[in-house]
Amino acid sequence: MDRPKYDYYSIFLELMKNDVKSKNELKIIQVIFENAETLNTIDITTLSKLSGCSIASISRFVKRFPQCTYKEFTHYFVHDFNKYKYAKSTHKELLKENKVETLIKKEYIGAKRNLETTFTDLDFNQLVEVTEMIRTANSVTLIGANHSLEIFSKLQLKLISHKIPTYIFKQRNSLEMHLRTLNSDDLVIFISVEGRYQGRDGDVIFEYIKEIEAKTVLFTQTRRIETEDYDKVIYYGNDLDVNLGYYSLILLNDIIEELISYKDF
Amino acid sequence: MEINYYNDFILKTSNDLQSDNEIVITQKIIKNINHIFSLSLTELSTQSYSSPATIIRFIKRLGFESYTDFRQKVSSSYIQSIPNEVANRGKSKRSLNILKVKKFYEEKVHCLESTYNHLNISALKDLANQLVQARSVTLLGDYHSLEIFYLLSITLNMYNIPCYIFKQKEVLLEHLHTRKEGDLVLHTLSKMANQHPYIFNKVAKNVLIKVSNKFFDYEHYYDKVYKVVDNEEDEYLSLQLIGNIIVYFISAEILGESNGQTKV
Repeated sequence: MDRPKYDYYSIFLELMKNDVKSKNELKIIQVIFENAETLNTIDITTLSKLSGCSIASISRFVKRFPQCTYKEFTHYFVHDFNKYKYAKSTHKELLKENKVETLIKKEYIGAKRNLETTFTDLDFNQLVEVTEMIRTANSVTLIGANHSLEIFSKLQLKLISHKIPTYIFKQRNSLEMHLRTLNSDDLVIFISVEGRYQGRDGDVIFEYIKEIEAKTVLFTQTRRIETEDYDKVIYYGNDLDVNLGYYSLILLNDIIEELISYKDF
Repeated sequence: MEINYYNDFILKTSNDLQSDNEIVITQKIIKNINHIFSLSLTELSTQSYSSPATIIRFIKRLGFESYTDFRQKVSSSYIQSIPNEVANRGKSKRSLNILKVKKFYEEKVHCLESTYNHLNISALKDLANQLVQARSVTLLGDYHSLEIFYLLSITLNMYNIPCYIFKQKEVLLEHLHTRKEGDLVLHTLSKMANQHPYIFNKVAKNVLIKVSNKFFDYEHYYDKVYKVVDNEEDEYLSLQLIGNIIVYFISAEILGESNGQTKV
């Protein structure tokens, strides 16, 4: 049987960052993290000894990961952890060919180029229409990667101060429960590099939002997407510099904040 | 420095809710935020289908003494954030024309230029050196800074240096108690957050990274302060560039720098 499609290392990092449920979980996380590369050689009894937690506690922790036993979890975790090491060879190649100062300059030029593309390609009228959708919505929910949401948390504060209930829930369970309370008068804004919410069970969440007919807006860097899935689409940055889009999101956030302050009477 | 309790409440609840009740309570508070001062505990309890005891437990977990304390503090800082709509009366959105947007764009570009032109390369190199020598690294800072440094944490993990990020305060405190000699705690302070660094573990090494000229009252608590750039503009835009740059220095420390002379 094929392994589940989830990235267990990523889920682990998100859980560590936002959703540790007890002191025991913290101890288990610390031991797993400090033995990340060899976790598949550590059986549940040894992990129990190393962490000072019972086998039952470890089993409960593993149940927070989808569709796996302890053995499968450790196997998938190490496999996914090692996938991230591809960057090591990329960096090695880059450093062979460039001085660090050159790489820094490339990063800086790329960041400026990303901002420039956002500015020159921005469909201002479309953005004005999006701010009207925000203003008239019963509520606004922002969905996306944590980093993007953190940038838009300034907008969240601004919208709430304009009496527009605006929600960001970074914990998956909180988000799912919140979405169940929405209807067609609510607006959901996706911020997604690749054009769709990429989080765990992203497709299910997206289909649910379409089912309740909530209004949808997408902020994306990708031009090659099915835009008819959304009521409005705003493009930023460019397809090639996907990792540099955060610079542009900071700019977009400021522009939308300003637009919200301007009220048509 | 005065805490903005309204901002604090919104940011905490975006990141750290522990039950279905807490989600519904948060939804109802946000919906009623403009008259939170007059929203009684009983009304909130009825609206959120949660008992008053559950609401009080939640409010206390967020750092307030009582429900009254919560609604007073959040209400007064919320009032300060309400925009002066009169100032923009009569100005239509269309009047925020492309020239104004261009101004925003130019400010961001200027901030990037200023950051790049004022980088303290030796401080960045030294910081990268400290990071790769640590047994483990724990990142501390406001939520946005922590997200910016996520790439840095993934990079350290890739080189088998465990790099922890905990956004839940209680979990972070518990984790810091377990840090030993050889562990490093990297603090990133926003220029707005000059609060006492209550979270020091004196055994671990504590270093501070600064992207502004502002002097923090508690700088002397740190083993080392790295002022990596001399810039007073958009702090997060600067930090975004800095965070990505440190990643290159970390790789250079471990893999060796340029001209084909790699160590590994």
